[in-house]
Amino acid sequence: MRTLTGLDYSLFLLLGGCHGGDGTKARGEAAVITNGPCDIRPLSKLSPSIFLSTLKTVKYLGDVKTDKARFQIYYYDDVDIQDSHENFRLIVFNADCKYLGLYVTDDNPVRIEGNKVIYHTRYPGNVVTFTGDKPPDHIWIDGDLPEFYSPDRERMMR
Amino acid sequence: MMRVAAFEHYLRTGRVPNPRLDAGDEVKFNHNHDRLGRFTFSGGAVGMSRAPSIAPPRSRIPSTGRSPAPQPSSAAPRRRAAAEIPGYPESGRTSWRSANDYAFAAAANHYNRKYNLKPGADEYKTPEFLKAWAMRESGGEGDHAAFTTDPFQVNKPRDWAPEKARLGLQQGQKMTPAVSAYAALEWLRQKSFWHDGKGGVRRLDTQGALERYNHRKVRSRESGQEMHYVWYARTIMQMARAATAKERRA
Repeated sequence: MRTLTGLDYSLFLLLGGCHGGDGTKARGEAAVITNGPCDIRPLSKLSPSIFLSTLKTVKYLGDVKTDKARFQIYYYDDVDIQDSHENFRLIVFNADCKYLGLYVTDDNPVRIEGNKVIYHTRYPGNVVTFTGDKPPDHIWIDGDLPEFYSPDRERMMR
Repeated sequence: MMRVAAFEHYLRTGRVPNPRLDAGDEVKFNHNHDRLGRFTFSGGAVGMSRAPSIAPPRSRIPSTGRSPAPQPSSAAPRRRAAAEIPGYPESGRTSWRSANDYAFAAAANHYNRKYNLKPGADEYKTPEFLKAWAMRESGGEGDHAAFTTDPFQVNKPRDWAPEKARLGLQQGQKMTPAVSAYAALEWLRQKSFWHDGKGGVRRLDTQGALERYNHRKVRSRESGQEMHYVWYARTIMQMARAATAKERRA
């Protein structure tokens, strides 16, 4: 059986099947999900800080290759209409589309160059360099040092 | 320092270590206190004690057959815990905007003591700063429920990030204004550090930290031609300064 992709899921949302991870219906709101190789639907169950139902954007940026592994990179951006808070996540899957974890950042990435994910930021730090067979424990973005949260680690932080 | 630690423990956990409770005694808890530690009612009125400005009982006023001339009160006018923020009236339908004044004052006081901050320092926090910030986050006319639970919108159920656990928050935790103020101040402090990638750290001023706290890098309906994060930080600082200046004039 064919795996449902991000594009299929965006069609699912456009056709009115926009339900939150907790089973609530998100009326009047939409998710923008661009095509990519991985099924992102389980994300809201795997990560407590990702909600796919409301005004969210999940986009596929591309894949990052190191000498030992290949990672699929997505990013997530949501704005809360009520208080104008904006949340960003850099989401990492492995080459087989197994969800590995995320970073909480203050901006969206703009492109991939080889083994680097590039950001445009105001403060120093605009490159995430992947080496070896797992994502870096810390990255340096916009003057911050976001940590990598695997699903297990994120569950521990609840 | 022990009292600061105990208060912080309470804010982080909602529990106060108490030997009496540990021994099985039951005590009644009243969360409404003024800055002197006296019981108050939720609106801030002090109960069980008489304010010094209250006039003496009529029986003690010598009868002269006519109304006594008004006596100037010797007591100084009672200062509010946090001044009203210009543009956010606290009367009638929006009187709830003063409901968190004591929580803001307590959180600012706790923060200043914890980090040994004196008035005049950039990082020194006033109740008016916290109140202006809360107005920007949840002071709109339809935001009563948000303002009286999580005025800084720091732990909304669908706005969770794992870093918040470092502030002592839990996902889905029932929020109070005191916990919200404490967590927001600590998160703002985190945002005031920016790393140079070589192990060095620089401190941003409060306005810069507020910009990073919001970090919404678009022009919004509210911000007009400005980036939203710039507008957010600038207006909070302006509102806090205006409220403080108005209170001083009064």
